[in-house]
Amino acid sequence: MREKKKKMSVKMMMKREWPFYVMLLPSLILMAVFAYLPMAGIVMAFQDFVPSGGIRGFFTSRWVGLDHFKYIFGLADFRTVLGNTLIIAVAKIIAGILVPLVLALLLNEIRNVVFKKLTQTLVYIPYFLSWVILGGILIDVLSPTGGILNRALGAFGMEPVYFLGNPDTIRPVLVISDVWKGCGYNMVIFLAALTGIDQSQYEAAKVDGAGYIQQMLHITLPGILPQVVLVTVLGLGNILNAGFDQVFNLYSPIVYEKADIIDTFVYRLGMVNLQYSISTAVGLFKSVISFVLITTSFGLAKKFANYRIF
Amino acid sequence: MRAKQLTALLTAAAMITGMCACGSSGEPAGSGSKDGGAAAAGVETTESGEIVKQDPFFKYEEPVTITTFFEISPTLENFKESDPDEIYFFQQMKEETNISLDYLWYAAKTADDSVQKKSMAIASGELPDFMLVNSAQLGMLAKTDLINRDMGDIFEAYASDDLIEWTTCEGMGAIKSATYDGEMIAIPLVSGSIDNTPMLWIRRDWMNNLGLEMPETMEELYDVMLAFKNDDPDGNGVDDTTGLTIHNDFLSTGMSDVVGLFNGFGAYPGAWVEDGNGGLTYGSTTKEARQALEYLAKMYQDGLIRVDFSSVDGTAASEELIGGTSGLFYGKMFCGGWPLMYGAQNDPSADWVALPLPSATGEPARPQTAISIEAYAVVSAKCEHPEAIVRMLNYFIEKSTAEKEEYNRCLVSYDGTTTNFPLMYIMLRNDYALKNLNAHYACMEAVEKEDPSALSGEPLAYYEAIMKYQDGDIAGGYMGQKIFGDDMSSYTVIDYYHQNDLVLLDAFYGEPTETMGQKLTLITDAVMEYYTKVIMGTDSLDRFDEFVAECNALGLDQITEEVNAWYLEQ
Repeated sequence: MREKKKKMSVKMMMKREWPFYVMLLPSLILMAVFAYLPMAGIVMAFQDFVPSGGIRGFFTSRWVGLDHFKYIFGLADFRTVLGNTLIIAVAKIIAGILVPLVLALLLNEIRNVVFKKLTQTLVYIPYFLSWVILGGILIDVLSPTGGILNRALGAFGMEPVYFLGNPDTIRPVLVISDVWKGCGYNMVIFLAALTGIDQSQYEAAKVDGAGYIQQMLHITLPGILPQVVLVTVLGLGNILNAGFDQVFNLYSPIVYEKADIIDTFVYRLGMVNLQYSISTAVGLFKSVISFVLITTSFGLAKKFANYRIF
Repeated sequence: MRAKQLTALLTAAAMITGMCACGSSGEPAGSGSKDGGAAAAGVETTESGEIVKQDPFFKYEEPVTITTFFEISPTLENFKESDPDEIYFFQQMKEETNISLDYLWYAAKTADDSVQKKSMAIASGELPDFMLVNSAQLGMLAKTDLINRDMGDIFEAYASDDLIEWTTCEGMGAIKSATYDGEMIAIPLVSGSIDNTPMLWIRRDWMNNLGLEMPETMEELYDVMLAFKNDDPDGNGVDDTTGLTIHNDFLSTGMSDVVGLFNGFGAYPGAWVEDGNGGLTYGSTTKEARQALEYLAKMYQDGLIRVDFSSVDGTAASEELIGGTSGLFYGKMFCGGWPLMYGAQNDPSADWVALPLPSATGEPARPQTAISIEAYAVVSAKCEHPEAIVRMLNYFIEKSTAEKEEYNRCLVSYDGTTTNFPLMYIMLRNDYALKNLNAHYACMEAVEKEDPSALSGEPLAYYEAIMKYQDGDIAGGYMGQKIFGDDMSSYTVIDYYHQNDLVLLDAFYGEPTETMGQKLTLITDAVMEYYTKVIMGTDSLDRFDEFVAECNALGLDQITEEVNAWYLEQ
């Protein structure tokens, strides 16, 4: 009896909500065509893929099992490259959350609307420039022969530093320039979250005698915590994407040992011999790691911050 | 909740897909010829199995449409998709052969755009009737059944004598490089390897300012570099000049590389050269390469190379040459045009001249180069008229060797003020190896006789440019004078190489060996890293033997073995 009732309710629900499902259908189809079907391409990671006309290649290519993975992990440089990727990516993720957070909190305290908007726009602008352009600008700015930064250092009597050619300075350059370029984006997310905080909480806190710092710690930060968690979780998915465009435009053989990341390494490897299979294997490896990390962080966010993204 | 979980799953799935989205079939691009002409299909053989020569200049009875793609060269400004059809060359081709071309896609001639589109076409298996590919793509296609594997027979049956002569005038290397497992699977489109030899470019006005002699040995070159760096060669009272311009990709020949410098020591990086015992050895790990590195490291220490050269790319290096802060670099013959021509526009007194490579060995230095194959023309297995590709090449060469008027109309026209290059719209073309050198000789003869009446086409355009230069229009005639002129130009150097038989060809030109395909990039990568570090002083030359051992461990040993096995068969 009870079961029948439940079935009825689903039926009734469908009757009531079917237009929504119809509206959802196109995006589901698109998702299936562009996200699910191509996933069949994963088989290339386990094949010695030789194209022979569309999907026929999947059936005619030779199966090699885990050979490609063994080959990649067996390369002497791969451990260095993996380490570089992790270090650079983690530093970028952390700095990429902290800096915009502080900026957003500071901007939020500013009452001059014109100044606030202007700053917000100026900080956001680099986000829209490509690394090809910014790379050229950075190479000029950081140049040891007449770059603006080294001239400034020279004014204080310091020897010029070849920032992009020194293994000790390349990682900080990568992280700082990435944060400089990208921090506007997260800052806008945090600013938006800040406007969503109920103003009456601040009023109540003031009545209770809370200062700026206390208001910030007890109202502002908890208020935007969900967004911070969201940005972190999404960021973790990128842990193996240390930024191909950026690194490719700024590195050189002299700093390979500290700045070569998985993507640039595979790019150089695959340049000569259309290595479809190897790049698929690397892509699969990266995706699996990202998947695990996203799932874990999603669980952690739920457990510790009691926050659900989905 | 369920919907939320689904979204979560889909998001995660989308991330997995990111890297592996290639490979599945796209929409079918039009393939195969659209309409048939009955004439001349297939290859006839005699009873003894010999291939019967066909008329290389036949005309299809019915119109034939061949599909291909169009690569937009950067020299074609304001390109429109209708442009190629309006070229007289193609209208005339339709007239004479009944073949017309249908372009399935247009792409800029860059690694990103064109090469990727071609790789996609290969991955999806939807090739146009014919396509130009590089050697890596050819290697991949060789493993597939996507292409016509009878091109050898078809080429033999239909190629005109000129086409065979142009393709093989520098030996059988070009054909062999297109031969996999005994089958010729593509037509190599050759140009002159001698055009790709390195030479030294130097500012003569700076040499005169400082009262120096042109360097012939590496020691003399070092003194010139020191003087260029320290003695204010441009006389502006500012310490703003450099010794030698090089860029970060310094083993790729062209402009501001150091391959010519290595050659001065008898080292041939990246090439396979005879080791003196009847075998071949890899040029990047020889003891001569070590000497060249030592020289470069000393240069870096003495400040003769920019301290941040490893962040200087080709464009930045060319700006240094144009900007008047450098008076020395190694480059190929084309440098007299780009980039130096633009320097002359800024400063007509920038009098660059070309020199043969200085040598450290006492013998004249031998410039290294490889058999020059611009591209391989592969024909789709689905193409119904594979012989049409050979027919079009015959037609191209026929026009290239045509009389003045027809040549001008088809390929390079010069109307007294501007030179037009319909040539740039033609994908399927090759060059006679000595074409440019012969143009130089023809120009020289005309300059001497002060009579250009024997000239046509390209040589005439160059002659006019040389005259322009000599009449005082430095910037306007710079390119002609510096490349083809009589006064220390690119081709006076190449003529010297040619007369003295100095050009050193990479001895390996076969299909890449198995290990080569897998591991050569690892080795070239390691070479670039070690070389850069040694030059910049962060790694030591004492470790050179260790470096060689590392390369061997990466697979160089095995590749050398395979290359030598190939060499024995030749």
